[in-house]
Parts: sequence; structure tokens; C-alpha cells
Amino acid sequence: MNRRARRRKRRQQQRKRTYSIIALCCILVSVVVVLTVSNLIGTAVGGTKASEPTPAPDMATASPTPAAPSAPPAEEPIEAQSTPEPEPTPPATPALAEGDFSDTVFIGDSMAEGFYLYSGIQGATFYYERGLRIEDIATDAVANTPSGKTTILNALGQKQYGRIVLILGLNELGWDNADVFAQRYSRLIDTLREIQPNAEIYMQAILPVTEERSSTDRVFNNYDIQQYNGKIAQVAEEKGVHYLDVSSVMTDSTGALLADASVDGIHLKQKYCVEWYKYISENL
Amino acid sequence: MWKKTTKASMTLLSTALLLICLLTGCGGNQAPLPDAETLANRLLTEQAFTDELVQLAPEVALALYQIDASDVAASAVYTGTGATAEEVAVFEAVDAEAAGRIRAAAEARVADQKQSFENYIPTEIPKLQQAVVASRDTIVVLCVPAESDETARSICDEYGLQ
Repeated sequence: MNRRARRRKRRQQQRKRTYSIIALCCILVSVVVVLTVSNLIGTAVGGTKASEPTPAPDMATASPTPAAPSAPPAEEPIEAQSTPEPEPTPPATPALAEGDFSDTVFIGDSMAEGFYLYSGIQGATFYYERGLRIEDIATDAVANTPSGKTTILNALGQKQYGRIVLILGLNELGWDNADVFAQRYSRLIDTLREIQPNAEIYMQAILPVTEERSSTDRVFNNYDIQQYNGKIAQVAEEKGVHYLDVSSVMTDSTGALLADASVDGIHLKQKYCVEWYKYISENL
Repeated sequence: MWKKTTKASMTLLSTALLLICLLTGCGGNQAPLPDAETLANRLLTEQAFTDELVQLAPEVALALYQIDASDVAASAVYTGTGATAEEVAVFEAVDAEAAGRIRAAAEARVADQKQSFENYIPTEIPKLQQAVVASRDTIVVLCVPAESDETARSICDEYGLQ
């Protein structure tokens, strides 16, 4: 083959190579475009079908010790919707139709919060604060009202109620002696009578703690709770107000809170908030 | 001549390969966003909790978070008995703007809980310090686990929630 022909052949081979590389690049760019578009389409469509919800697992015990009172905001009370109770794990708030609580205000500590969140009660007003003590009712701005956040006492001055339920005393166990507690509670009743002259007042007993908690806690133990409850009942009788012994629906033969009623021995699981609600419905 | 052509072709090929690597990543390897109930149940079952977490009625949940009902298409909120600060909340907002407000409410919830538990049950503060608040598009998530937040963050990463 002469030189010219060899050169011609070489050029042809180079051209083939060039065209092959260009073709390969075009294919690669096309793949890039297709992949990008399909990813974008996949993102835009989004979502998966909802599966049957798996209820929350009930796990090991936590044992915190509530300390001095703090001041979380008390929430504006609203009506809670009720839903059927699925088995076997803790359900959404249950359907409870009976009881009109539209004229009722519940005032209390973290126990009142649990009652509000989990009992299924509807229509009532709730003013609560974790760690609430009697004197905090006049000082801590935790009550949400149409005019803004204010103290519970001020909030009570803005609307008249037919019933006031007091869930107090748990956070005084480690702070006051029983007589000082009784005096303060007695003064509170007098103040409430002035602000809410037409309201029926209910003083709820401090709920017991589990035997396990009671036997290991110097502050939250059932001996002291019984002492304080004796004072609450005494004040209720002296002032002519109602005493609610809610513990009767959730205690064992020794008077301790049922072992399965609480995670930390103090705060109630939903099932017992519902029992609590039943008691309240029957006794208000 | 051949060398110039080859060089140009190789440059073009390298650029194309680089584009493949970059653009396939841009589409996202994120899983499609699930609904509130599905995502909440994943967090509940795969993340460890010590408290009994109970689902709140929607109206109660919105009041707790101080969220306007008109901002929310769906929600799944689970809170504890009061013994702990553990919590799971997933909200589906009506639009991106509402999602921004809901996320702010979730962050405010964590701040309020920290203030509340600080003097009440101080041992709960470490849980709140590693609370997971994340969002993407119209989904907003809050998770306060019992121990490590690794699982919750991993689930959020899977869906591109940040």
C-alpha cells in the first residue's frame, strides 16, 4: 500500500474513533438527562400509603423525682375529641359522651395536666402548672385567657364557674408541714369564695403513689399523703365544700396506687386517667 | 491532529461522567415523604422510649403546641404521662408557609419543656437537649427520645428532613 493510501486509511480510522467517542458522550448525556428527570418526577409524586398505625410501646419504668415548682404555660382549654379504644396497646383519647363540664374549672399541678390530656374530658376549663403549689395560684402567670396570660386567680376573676375542682397538695409534700398546708388551703378556699361566690368547690385528695415509690421516696410516700389528705378532708368539712377521694378507684388493698397505674409511681397512665374521669363524672 | 481530537473527546467524556455523578445526586436519594401517622409510628417503634406515649386528640395536640388548626392538614402527636419529657409529634402542614409556623411552634414547645422540667424533673433536660426538630416541604417532626437521638435522626435523614 503506498503512502497516500496509508495516510487515507489512518485518517479514516481517526474519524471512526472520533465519531465513536462523540456517540458515547451523547449516550451518556442522554442517560444523565433521563435519570435526572425521573428523580424529579419521583420527588414530585412523593408519599406512601398510610399503614395501620402501630400503637406506642409501653416500656421500662422511669423514676424521676419532681423537684421545686416550675412555670410552664397552662394551655387554653378546648374540647378533646374522643376516639374508639383499639386493643391491645394504649389508644387515642377515648370516646366519653356523658357529663357536661362547660361550667367547670380544674385547677392543679402535673396530675391535672395528665387528666386534661388523657381522660377524654370535654368542655372543661383547665388551669395547671407542673409543680404548682397553693401560693403559685396567685403569683404564676400560667393561665391563658382571651386577654393574655395571667395568674390563675386573675383568670378566675374573668369568668364565673358553676364548679371548681382543686387538684393540689402533691408538691407541698416535701415543702410544708401538714398544718401550714391546711392553713394555706383554708385561705385559698376563702379567696375562691370571694371571686366565685356561686361555685361549688371540690377539694380532691392527693392521689397515692405505688408501693415501690412509697417505700423508696422520702417526699412522695403514702404515709405523708395520708396525713395531708386528712388535713384536706378536715378543711373541706370546716369550709362546707366537697371532698373527692379519687384514690378509691385506683388503689390496692394497702391503699397504694396500683402497680400498673404509673410509669414513675406517681403520674397516671391513660387507663387510670379514664377511671379518674369516671369517678369525677359520678361525683360532681 | 489525532491527538487534538482525542484530547477534546476525552475532555467531553470526562465532563459527561462528572455530570452523571452530580445530577443523579441532585434528584435526591430521599425516600418519598410519608403521612404523619406513618412517620410517627416509625419513630415510636424504632426509637426507644421509657414512658407510655399516648396519642392526643387532634384538638388537644394543637392547643398544646399553640398551632392554628387552619395550618394543619393532619397530625399525629404522642406525649408521655408527665413522668418524662419524651414525645413524638408529626404534622402535615397545608402549605410550606404553614410548615414554617408549625416548625417554630415545635421549637417553642422544646424551649417551654426545658423551662418547665428544669426545676421540676431536671434529669429530663438531657433528653430535651437532643430533641430532634426537622422538616421538609409540608412535614414537620418533633421527637424527644429516651436516650440517643441517633435513630430518630437517621429516620429523618432517610426522608430528607432537616
